[in-house]
Amino acid sequence: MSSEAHCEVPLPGLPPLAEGSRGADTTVASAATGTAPREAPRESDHAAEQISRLQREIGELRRAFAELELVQSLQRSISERRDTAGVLGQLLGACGQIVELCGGAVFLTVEGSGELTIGAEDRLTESQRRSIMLMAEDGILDWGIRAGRCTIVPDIAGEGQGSRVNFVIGPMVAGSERYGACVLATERSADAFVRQELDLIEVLCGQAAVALANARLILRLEKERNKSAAILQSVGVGLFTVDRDCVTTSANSAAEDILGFSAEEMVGGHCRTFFDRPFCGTSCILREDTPDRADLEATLAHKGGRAIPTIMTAVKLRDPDGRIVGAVETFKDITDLKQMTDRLRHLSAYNRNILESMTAGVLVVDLDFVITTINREGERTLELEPGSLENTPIYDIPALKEVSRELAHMLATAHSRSREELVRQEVTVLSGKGRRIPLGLSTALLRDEDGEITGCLGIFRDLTEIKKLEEQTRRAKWLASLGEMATGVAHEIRNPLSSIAGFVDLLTEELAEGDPARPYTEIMQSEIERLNNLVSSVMAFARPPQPELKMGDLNALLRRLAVQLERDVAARHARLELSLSPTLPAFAFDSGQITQALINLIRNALRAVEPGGAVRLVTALEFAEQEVAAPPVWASDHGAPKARANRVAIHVEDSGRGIPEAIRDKIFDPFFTTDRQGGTGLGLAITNRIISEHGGVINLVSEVGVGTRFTILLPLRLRSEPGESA
Amino acid sequence: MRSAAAPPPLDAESVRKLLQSGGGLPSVPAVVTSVLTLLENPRASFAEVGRAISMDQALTAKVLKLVNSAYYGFPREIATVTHALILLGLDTVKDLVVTASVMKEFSADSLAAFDPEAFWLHSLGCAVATKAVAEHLRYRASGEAFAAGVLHDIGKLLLARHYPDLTELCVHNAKEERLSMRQAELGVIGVDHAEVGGWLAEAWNFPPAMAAAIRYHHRPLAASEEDSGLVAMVHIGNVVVRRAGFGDGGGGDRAEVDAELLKSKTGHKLRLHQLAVDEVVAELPGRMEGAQAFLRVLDVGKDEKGK
Repeated sequence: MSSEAHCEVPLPGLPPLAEGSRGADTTVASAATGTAPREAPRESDHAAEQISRLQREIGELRRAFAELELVQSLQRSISERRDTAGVLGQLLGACGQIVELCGGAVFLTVEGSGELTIGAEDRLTESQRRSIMLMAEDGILDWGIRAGRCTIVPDIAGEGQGSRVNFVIGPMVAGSERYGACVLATERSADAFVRQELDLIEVLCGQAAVALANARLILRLEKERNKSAAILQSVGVGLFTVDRDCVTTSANSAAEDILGFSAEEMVGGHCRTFFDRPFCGTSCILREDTPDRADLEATLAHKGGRAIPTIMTAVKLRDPDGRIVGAVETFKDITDLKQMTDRLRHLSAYNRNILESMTAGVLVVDLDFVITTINREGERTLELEPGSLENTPIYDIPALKEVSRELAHMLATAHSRSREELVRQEVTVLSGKGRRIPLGLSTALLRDEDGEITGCLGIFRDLTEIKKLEEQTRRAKWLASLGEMATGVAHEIRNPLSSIAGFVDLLTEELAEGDPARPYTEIMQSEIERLNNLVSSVMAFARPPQPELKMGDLNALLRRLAVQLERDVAARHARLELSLSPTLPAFAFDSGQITQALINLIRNALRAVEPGGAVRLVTALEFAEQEVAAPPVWASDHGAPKARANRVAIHVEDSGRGIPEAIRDKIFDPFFTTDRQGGTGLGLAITNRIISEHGGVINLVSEVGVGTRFTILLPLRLRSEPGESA
Repeated sequence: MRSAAAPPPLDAESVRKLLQSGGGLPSVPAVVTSVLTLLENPRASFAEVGRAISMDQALTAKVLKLVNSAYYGFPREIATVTHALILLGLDTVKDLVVTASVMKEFSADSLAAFDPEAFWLHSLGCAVATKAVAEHLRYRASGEAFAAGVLHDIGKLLLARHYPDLTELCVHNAKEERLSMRQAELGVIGVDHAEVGGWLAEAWNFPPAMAAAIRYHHRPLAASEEDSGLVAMVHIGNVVVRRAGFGDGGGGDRAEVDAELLKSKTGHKLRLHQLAVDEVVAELPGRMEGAQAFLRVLDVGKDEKGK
């Protein structure tokens, strides 16, 4: 259809409209020319007027209709084509139906830079092309696009060559985005254009712009989609997405690898297919009331049936309005991880077992002096609460003060130590219960596989028992050497003493009765006697008397003893009481030695009581389950004798002044005496010796101001065996 | 007719008669009629319109000056009117023709009552604002919006010409008692500028919508349903330009959009409730910059008359 007001199909009965009818001048249209003359001039004039007006209006309508069709057909053909060149070609063609073109081109705005490049062209001559490029350079095209309206520009560049071409510039704008401009070369003069034509060209260009906008959008979408797909595939963990109904919508290649299903097999199926057991994890994430993200462990099922342990992260997917539309789940196969974790756990338990089974305390601190390990034995030794020590700094624990000092020293001098060096120390600590405990401590440095120091190790033992043994051994040795020395001295004294005794006897015989010198020799004789006794005592003490074990009646012995000591008891104004067990059987003991031992104890008791006080002798038969700890005893190399089960107890009790704690250890030492009147100090030592040679023990209970009880415990031997000892 | 001699008339009818009979209503400039008529026909060629404009030399000069101004920024010099028309676009041309002609008509008046520059700035501002409102509401006949906006207060010029003292009194009263010009005019003269403007629009054969916009720009609900769209927009445009503070319309009251208008049928049709008047007020300075080119062009034309 040309832009002239030309009807293609003339109305029946009416001539086609003439050219001049385009202008809507107030002058009457000259369309009346060509009408056949009517009969009645006046009426026919009026009618002719009416008819021509109607014809005009019909022409207008037709035109409008044709324009509408043009627009629609362009729309259709644009929508059928997806390629940009095709769209632009259609545009030029449609414009060509409005304006008679001698050529045309479409410029496109490059996204981002705003530059204009030719997207399509049609029948352009060289000179036209040049002119258009000049216009582009001059910025005229830009101007036209910015103006947003169709403009007409004469071909100024070509004027020199006699060009009468005008360029119609139609901007292609969609929304607020500028996509380019359509440049139509026409020989029609600018004046001859009508606004409606320009408006129409604008509309067509606008349509093309919309098509371009859509194409650009689709391209962008595709790029984004490809990018997303590539990301999904390249991600190193398995990934699948589900929709609202738990149906799988996509799965990446890593998921395929792990699960053994192909993506096609997975998509469209309920995600339950590859969960090991009915699993609510996915449906949980799709609920409104759960958090948007969940991290969990899930067991998936491989296509071949194998269970695959995984750690999984599930995240909700929401649309722009915030509604939940699905979920994304990423997962990692942790089979290997699980195996390693299990192995590690076993190893850890094994190590722990070793530590806990040790019979010494083990303590490890790291470089910050925080206790990383301590075993049961260690806690027990230190009398501390089990489990209270790990991850505590060592200096927060008073019981370990000395230990921490040693460990600190170890670490401080670390650089000067060899790899395997173990340092042994003895320290004294205050236990959790307030007891002073001697510890044997060995410290060493802990190093990692690179040789770097990671902490310090201490192994310790309670030395209390050992120290007691050491103490006992020391005493025993001391006493032994003392005994040897005493025996030696005693021997040396004996000979000169007997010599002196002999001559004193002679001297006494020389002196007459009543001689004033006689009392002196009597004194000398008694002193010599005394010395002799002392020497005998010492020699008796020094030479271990092997007890002769003969069956005897202990109770009877004690009764005889009581009679024997009547005078001594009376002299003290004291009482001697007997409480003898009637069930005491006869048993094997050395009666002479036991008598000696008892005499010493009783004499001590008598010395201790006040006038009017009492000394009690008790015998009893005891059945003991456990060993009883023995006080320091005179022993050769036998070790500490212990009272046997089934034994005889002899108690010597007094209500005297008691023995102060400070000297309780010492009273059995030879030559120790509190008796200022000059006892030998050997009494209790001898008693002790005798009892221990019998295989028994002697215990002491005393309270200052109240009294004392010595207890002799003898093993119950029901056979006579000479020389037997513990 | 000089008002100093006659006692102040007391009602609209009398004023109208007086104006009509005494030639108080100026006749329409020929170029306006021809151009406006041409422009109503979408099939009018640029040549035809160009010819009509070329009849008026001053107008031609203005058109060329405008198209070559920095604001339009065309890379080449435009020498022919037709080309200028094509580049400016016929809507702009229409606005220019109408505004220039009207300004020319009243340029000879010595206005004592108010400052002409402030008046024209207000009128132009209203035109720009009305166009802005139309754009915001996506109202399609925005081509007429500008012209209607420029001419909405034309009645004031007419009143000032014929009753200068009374007009001065009105201005004074309005400022003192915080009245709108309309209230002051009704009180002092007996008729308001909107009514008078409406008469002029009719005399000049303006399109009915434009005449209605002028007549009812203070009483938008009184307009007929057909014209109500443009009337409402001019009404709001007037409020916008007054709020933005461009020029001076003379009123002492606070500019408010008629509350009833929002609830009316027109209001619903135009979806006025979606319009953020403050937004348009805020945009106005930016848009006025574009109109400055217009204003400068129009000033040049006035000097020819030796004012």
